[in-house]
Amino acid sequence: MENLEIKAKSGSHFRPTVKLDASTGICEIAGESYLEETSQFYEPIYDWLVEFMKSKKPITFNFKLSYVNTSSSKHILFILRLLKQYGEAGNKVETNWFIETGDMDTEEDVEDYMIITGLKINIFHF
Amino acid sequence: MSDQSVTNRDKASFLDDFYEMLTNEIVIAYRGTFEKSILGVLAQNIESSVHESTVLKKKFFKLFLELAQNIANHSVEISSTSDGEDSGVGLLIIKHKGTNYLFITGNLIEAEHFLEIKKIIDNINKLNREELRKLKRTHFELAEKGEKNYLGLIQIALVSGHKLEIAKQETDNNKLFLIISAELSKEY
Repeated sequence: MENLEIKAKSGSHFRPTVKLDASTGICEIAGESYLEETSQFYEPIYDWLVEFMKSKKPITFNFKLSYVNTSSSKHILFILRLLKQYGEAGNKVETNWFIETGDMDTEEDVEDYMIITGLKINIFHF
Repeated sequence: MSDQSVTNRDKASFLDDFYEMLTNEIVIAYRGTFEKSILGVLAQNIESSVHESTVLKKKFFKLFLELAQNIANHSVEISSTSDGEDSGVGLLIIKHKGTNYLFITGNLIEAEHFLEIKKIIDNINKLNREELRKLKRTHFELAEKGEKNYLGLIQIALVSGHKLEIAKQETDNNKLFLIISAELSKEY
């Protein structure tokens, strides 16, 4: 299975950087997600995860998103629910969210994602 | 003194006042489509003109994007962008207001939708932060199911931390100009 990488355009506030590593199971979405074509962007990520999960290998998912616009947020929820189901099926899942110190809006969003999905997300400040 | 020289003096005075207002009060004033390329230019403008803490800069940016997105998606005045896509047209002004920034948006809507939007904003304004977060979670789930939701307005209220204001100006053809404003403290 191949890695999936999507690079954000330099200076872009619209598209995050994505690195999904099939050999290590370490996945990362970083930057800001203000997208109009959210389904087009997030569906390949979701599909990659579904395919990877057939391997039953551990996954570490690192979110380094400081801004998720409202239309991107439902796709983030889809991914979090998928990770939750994978963990409930007996697989090893670790989900981390890196938040800049003082960014309470993002911290509240992550807390809300946890309440909605029931997935444990470790919050790290930097 | 001729009438013409009085008129010219008025124009010069107007330009002086206008320039002073732009320099001292206005952070961004824009009217047009809110397509991606325009948002990119405005976002760069924010990066260079808001010399504040990174937390405030992020909040400023979030408010700007949610309000701009509201116009792009909900204005009934539509224009084709350079990419051939349709985008809503509207007005966005961000200005200084003492210890706050004031964000004002304006766009055309169908007149019949005003009361519904006002009811939503009145409800948002009644809630404390925890109640608002609870409402946001409900609307997150509506968004997830692809159902109608007001996540954008709730998010604007949460990031702003102030009550939202709504106003209207009547126009012709069963449409009206919807004005929504939000404030953001500079003390983050």
